[in-house]
Amino acid sequence: MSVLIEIKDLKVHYPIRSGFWNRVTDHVYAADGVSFEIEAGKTYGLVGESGSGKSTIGKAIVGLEKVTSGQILYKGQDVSKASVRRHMKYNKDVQMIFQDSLSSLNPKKTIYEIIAEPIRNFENLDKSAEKQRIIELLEIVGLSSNAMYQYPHQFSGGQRQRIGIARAISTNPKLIIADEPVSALDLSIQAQVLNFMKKIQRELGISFLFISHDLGVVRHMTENIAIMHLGRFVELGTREDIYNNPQHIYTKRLLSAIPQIDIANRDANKAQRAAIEAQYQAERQNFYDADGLAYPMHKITASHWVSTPPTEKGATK
Amino acid sequence: MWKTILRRVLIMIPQIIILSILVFMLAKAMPGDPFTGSIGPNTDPKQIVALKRAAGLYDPWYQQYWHWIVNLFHGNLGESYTLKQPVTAVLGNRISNTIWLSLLTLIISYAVAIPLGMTAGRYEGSRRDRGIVIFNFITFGVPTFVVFLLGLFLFGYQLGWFPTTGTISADASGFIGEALSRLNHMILPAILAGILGTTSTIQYLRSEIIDSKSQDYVRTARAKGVPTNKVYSRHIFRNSLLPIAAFAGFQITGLIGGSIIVETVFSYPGMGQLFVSSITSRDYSVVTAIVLFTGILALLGSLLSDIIMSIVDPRIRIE
Amino acid sequence: MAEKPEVNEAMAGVPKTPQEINEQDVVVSAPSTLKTVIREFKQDKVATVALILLIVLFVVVAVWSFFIPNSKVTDVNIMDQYLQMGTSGHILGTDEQGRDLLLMLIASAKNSLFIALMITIIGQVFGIIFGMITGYFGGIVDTIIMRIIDFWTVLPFMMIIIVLVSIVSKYNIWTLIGIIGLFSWQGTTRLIRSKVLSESDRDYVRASKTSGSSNVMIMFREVLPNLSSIIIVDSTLTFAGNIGIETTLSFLGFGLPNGTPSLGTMISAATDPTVLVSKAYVWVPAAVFIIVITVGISFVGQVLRRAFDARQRLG
Repeated sequence: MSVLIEIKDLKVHYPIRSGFWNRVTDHVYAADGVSFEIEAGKTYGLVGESGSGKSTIGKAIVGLEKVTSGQILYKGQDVSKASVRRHMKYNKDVQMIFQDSLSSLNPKKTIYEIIAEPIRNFENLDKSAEKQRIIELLEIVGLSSNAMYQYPHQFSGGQRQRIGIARAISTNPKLIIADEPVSALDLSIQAQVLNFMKKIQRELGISFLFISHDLGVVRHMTENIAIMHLGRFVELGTREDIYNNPQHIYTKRLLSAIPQIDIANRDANKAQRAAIEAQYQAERQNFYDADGLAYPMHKITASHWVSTPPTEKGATK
Repeated sequence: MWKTILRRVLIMIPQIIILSILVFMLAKAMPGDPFTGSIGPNTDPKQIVALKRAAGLYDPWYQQYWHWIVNLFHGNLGESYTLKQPVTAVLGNRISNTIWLSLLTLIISYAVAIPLGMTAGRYEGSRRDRGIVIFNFITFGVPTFVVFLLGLFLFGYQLGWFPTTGTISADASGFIGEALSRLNHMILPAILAGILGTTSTIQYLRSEIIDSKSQDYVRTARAKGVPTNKVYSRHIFRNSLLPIAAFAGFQITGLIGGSIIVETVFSYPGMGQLFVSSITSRDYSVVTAIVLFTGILALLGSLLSDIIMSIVDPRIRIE
Repeated sequence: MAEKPEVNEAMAGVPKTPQEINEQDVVVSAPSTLKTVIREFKQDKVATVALILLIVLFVVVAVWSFFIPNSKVTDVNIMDQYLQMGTSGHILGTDEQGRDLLLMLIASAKNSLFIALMITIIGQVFGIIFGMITGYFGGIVDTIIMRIIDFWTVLPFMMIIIVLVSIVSKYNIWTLIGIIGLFSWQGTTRLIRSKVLSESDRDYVRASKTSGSSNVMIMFREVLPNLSSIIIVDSTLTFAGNIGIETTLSFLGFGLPNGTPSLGTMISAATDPTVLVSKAYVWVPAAVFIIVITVGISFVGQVLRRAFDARQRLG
């Protein structure tokens, strides 16, 4: 498959100001040297604890976060610059679904106006074609055309998130970044929205970057998974690589933390979690450098990358 | 904290410089100059030009500004065109009158606002609260001069409870007698201005108390079994009152700025009245001095408020 | 597909057709803003009375002043000086120049209200523009504008206005509006800024960015409608304040030029103690008019504020 977007050594640092003159004294390393590729039509999961920088990466790709250094290459151009993005109508192809469905829809606008916004900015449709397109989009996400004339507060959380999806797919994008799209929703509604997303992804062949702290959701939604910790990737691989053959100690720890409804083996599971935690505490210094940050990743199979100390294996990248 | 205070003081320096330039520009734009009053109709125009040149009136503006600033630091604010006296001498007495009136107003204002604000906040939604809120709308909306006039008409003239002009009666004698007479002359304007000045304090106190009622430290105190009255007096009151103290800096500068209105209505010979009469008689050296003085006072007041706030409220320190 | 138990369990209960979904999780819609405002007014009898009174007064002033010839408020007629209320057809009596006080009151009210309205519009327009820019872009622009505002707010504006009024050469209604306008924007700027700061952090602004809208479009088409309620409240309350500023200046003798009557000028007759005491009918109607208008507006403004701010609602 062809590469859609290539992220090269992406860094997003926030300055910390302090002292008498309010000078920049330090930085928060929200994303610190992240590289990966997104292929057309494939789904990717980005997993990490809160504060690990996963949202920052998503926002940087879609253009909502200022990139400190590194490149985001799309069709051979570096879209980390706003002027380049504007010129090539980048956001027509790369869209975003937000976590908080209420906050992401303008309360003073009708659903029609909300969905029409990207269409008007990126495509040249006449009035009736625009309306036709909006009805079609609402149908795709399972809402009746009556919804057009209503306001966001008249819908439930799940419906609002589907409206957000309709907006995101309105310009036929090639990639959608979904930043914790269901974590604010009720569990029963989560499934409904996730299945809509999955259906749309398959039917329209859109690439998905699915950002979540929920390993279960990511497993359900994506084929490739990256694990993030403290602004860096620690492991990257296919779903099978990550779930069946985790290499990094942090990945193992995350996987062991997934709650299991398995009462018969409760004690065994508990012991295993304790063992992994003990292993994590013991081997921690082997996986992180002197500053407590992850090492650069190295290839261990064709699809599987792990962050390991440079001395253990020859630098393949 | 010291950093915050020092930074705040440093901000003040450019503010004062800009203020002085602003006032200097206003002064230059005003018609007339120091010779307007002293020159008779028979003075030779050439002589006027020579006098003006000697006084530096044809110098570039920055030299004149510098000259003006140097004079300011020597306490030389020029001479009043109409009174033929140094401006400092004209101002001195008036300023103290205004400051006394403003202080009394401030005291009355707090004496009224604090109990009302406390009551309104504590008994939120009650009949008392609604009454206080309506009282607040009235003091917020109504222009002060109308209230002053009605008060003067009613309490000064119709009921004859208070003197209607001046600062002191002619027949007052002795220190006590004079002090009482002065107080008597200030009391009506101070009460009216004080009541009209309660709006922001009541509003702030009321919403602050309503907010603190649901705060954890109050709930904890209540859960510990602290009596309601004590919760209010010890915990809520103390927390809400400190910011109010900090606003005093702003309040007093507001009062001095507002002295124009009170003093005009009550014919009270303070700075505000002097300002109005100087404008009318085109005595611009006095006008300039008053604007500069009031402006610097206002900057100092806001400095004071900010410093007290930064001591009281640590959230402001971060930045 | 069958990897995650809870997902599948939940799926079982999920209806398949769009119509069914709509019926299943329809949310009771929140009442519209207008309905809330009407309900708040119903809760507050005083404010309802104030609103009705204000509307009646505004309409009367606006319509009647249209039919008052200019000569009625400028011509001096010493013969009719200080006529009592109700004498020779003058319902409110006459003033020092023998002008009918009722006509003066209507003409003055029109001028005072008009000026206050213009100043409010100027203050709102500049306040909204500056507040939008400073709140939306933040950074150095924000720091500079806020520093200017801090300084501007502290200045003794009444004195500076009076100085400017007395030194401006071509002085008329519009210069007065301009001069007062110089000091009417900073409060609104601060208010709008703080609201824009919190609005800009909402995801709909980010969504608009990724939808390809420009900053200007986002500020004025997306964010501005969300500020409508605070703009309405703020303009109502500043309108009352501006009536106060203009009438105060006119009262002190630094307001409207001669020949343009103002409520403040009418009341300034009372600076003469004999008029104040024995000819109260000259100034009291204008004073009462000002009180009714300003207090009425502040009542209405506070009700609007309550209606838009759920925390303060009465009912």
